[in-house]
Amino acid sequence: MKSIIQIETADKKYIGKDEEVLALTNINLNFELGKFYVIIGHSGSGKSTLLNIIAFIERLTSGNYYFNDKNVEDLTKDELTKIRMENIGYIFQNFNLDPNLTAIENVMLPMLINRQIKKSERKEKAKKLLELVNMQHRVKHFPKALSGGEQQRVSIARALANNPNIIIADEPTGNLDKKNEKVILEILKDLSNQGKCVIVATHSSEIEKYADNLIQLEEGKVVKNEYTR
Amino acid sequence: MNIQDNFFLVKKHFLNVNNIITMIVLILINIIIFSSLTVIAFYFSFKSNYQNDVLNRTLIVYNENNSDNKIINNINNVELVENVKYLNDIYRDAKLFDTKTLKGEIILHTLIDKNDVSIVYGRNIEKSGEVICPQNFYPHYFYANDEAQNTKIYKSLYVNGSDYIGKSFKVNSKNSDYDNQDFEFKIVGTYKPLYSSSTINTCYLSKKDYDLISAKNLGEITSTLVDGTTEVETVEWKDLFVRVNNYNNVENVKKDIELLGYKVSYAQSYDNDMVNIILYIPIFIVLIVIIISFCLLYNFIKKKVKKRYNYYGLLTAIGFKNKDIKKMEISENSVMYIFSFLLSFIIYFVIYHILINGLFAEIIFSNYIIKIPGAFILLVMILYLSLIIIETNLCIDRTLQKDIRISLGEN
Ligand SMILES: Nc1ncnc2c1ncn2[C@@H]1O[C@H](COP(=O)(O)OP(=O)(O)O)[C@@H](O)[C@H]1O
Ligand SMILES: [Mg+2]
Repeated sequence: MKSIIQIETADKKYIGKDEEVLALTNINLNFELGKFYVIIGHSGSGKSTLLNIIAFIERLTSGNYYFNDKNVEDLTKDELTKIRMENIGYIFQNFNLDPNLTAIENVMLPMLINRQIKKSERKEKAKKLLELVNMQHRVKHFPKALSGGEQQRVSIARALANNPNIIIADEPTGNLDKKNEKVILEILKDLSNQGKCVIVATHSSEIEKYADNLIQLEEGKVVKNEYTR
Repeated sequence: MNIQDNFFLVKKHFLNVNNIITMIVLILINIIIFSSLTVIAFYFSFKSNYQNDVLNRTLIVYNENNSDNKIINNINNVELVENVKYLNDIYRDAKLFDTKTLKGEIILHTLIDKNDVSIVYGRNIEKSGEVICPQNFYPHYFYANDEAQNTKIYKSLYVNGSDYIGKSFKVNSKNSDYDNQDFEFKIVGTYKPLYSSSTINTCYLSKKDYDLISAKNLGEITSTLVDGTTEVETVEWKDLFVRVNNYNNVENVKKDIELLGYKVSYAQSYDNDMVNIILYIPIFIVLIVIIISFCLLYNFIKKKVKKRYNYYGLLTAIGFKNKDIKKMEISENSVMYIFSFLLSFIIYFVIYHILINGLFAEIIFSNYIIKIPGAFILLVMILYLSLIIIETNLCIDRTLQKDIRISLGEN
């Protein structure tokens, strides 16, 4: 199958005040739709950096990144923002919900900047997404009134708002207990089964079991990249 | 993001302690600025009215030797010379204007020069027995340098002067030659006052008619000083008054007459230093308050942007452009300012009306009108809105330049 994301000989350097940090070195990775990728590695090994690069939040220092065969380096910031909005759903460790919005309004938030979704369809669509993550009973609740697991489910629904084909999750279960972790991973697994490319960064060994493809980072280098099934 | 969705988010984020405190501060600041601007505007209207006021280019000449006024008349820049008695007001009851609640009373004043008034309806006086009255006419007792009396003015008792054109009223003479005889006066026109010494119940008559009904001998000239005190001088009718053609020439003419050996005084004078304080203090206040509030606003916006740092990271990660984020924050801050602007304007408006109808009522009904300086106030609003747009832009630009990872709340 064709890769939607191709990263070749990629480096990412951070230039600080008095030192350079080589966060990623010589990365060669491909990502396909319909697969569940798990990136593991110690803290500081470069997992978040890699995810941010995949989501165009940060740019490579050298090397190539092709998204859908387009060279990301050739695109402007606004073009990338648009591609991100249409193609990528981002899930955070600390959920990052807007405390002033209800669950359903949080899910609708990314739709506000998507011209493809009609205003009249937003609510219905958001409701369906909340159903998908089993949160239909908490539609009008504010984040404060939700448990961590519930908040993360809302945040998954939000990541799906603009129907992206790539889901990026940076330690999505880092703040959750075992039971909730399982629920979240099942949902993400389902999404990959439905044809989405799911990329999860973690240092939890629990998640490795779900991986179609396990990538291990160490000090910014890929030390393992293997199909697990 | 379209406008509706933009304001949906603004609405959701609007109610927070930060915004409310800022709004309260802005309301206070706005009221201070509006009030100061009102005083500044009043200063300019006062100044220009003052210089146009004929009484302020009128000099009293003490003519003890009863000499001829031709010499004075020939001095440069002297417009006219008349007997001082014509500066007097005559207070008389006028039955024509009696109402259930108040007696009719008018002030009769000599029309020195036809150009001292502008005619609104009808025509100017041409012969004896004719008068002109104010178009906006309050033919009752209201205020006559008489501290003890009540100065209340009943708005409902105002009449249209033009409704009385053609009508006549009788006035009792105090001239001993006519021994309490009544004289009839016909209203032939209405006028708009061109200078402050005419009041809302002053009707003008000719010199001849003045002589018919006024007392023959001594009179008094009462001058009101700016600090509110009045000075009463007894003047013999042989004294003269001199009207100078321009306010700026008054000093020179005064000197010229004094050189002829006369004692000269001003018909009306005011304390220049005190009047200038009316200008300088509010300008000072406005400047200080504007500078302080600009800094306050900047800090407020900076603080809020800092607080929302994580949120901007999230919005960026889900596909909001910087432009969208800026639009959202600029709208929120503008809405906040407009809210406080409207609220402060309402409060200011209420205070203004309370003061105008109470404390300042006396000033208002002469030509020295205290107006709401609408254009200035609008200008202030535009200034603040531009400032908010610039400051918000600046703060967000600075913030979004920083590392987005921190803003995403990573550990
Ligand atoms: N903005 C930055 N400036 C300098 N160094 C950074 C910056 N962001 C990340 N790093 C460094 O890059 C390395 C990789 O970080 P990160 O991708 O966050 O690792 P992980 O997510 O695996 O914990 C770390 O050494 C980190 O300190
Ligand atoms: Mg990380």
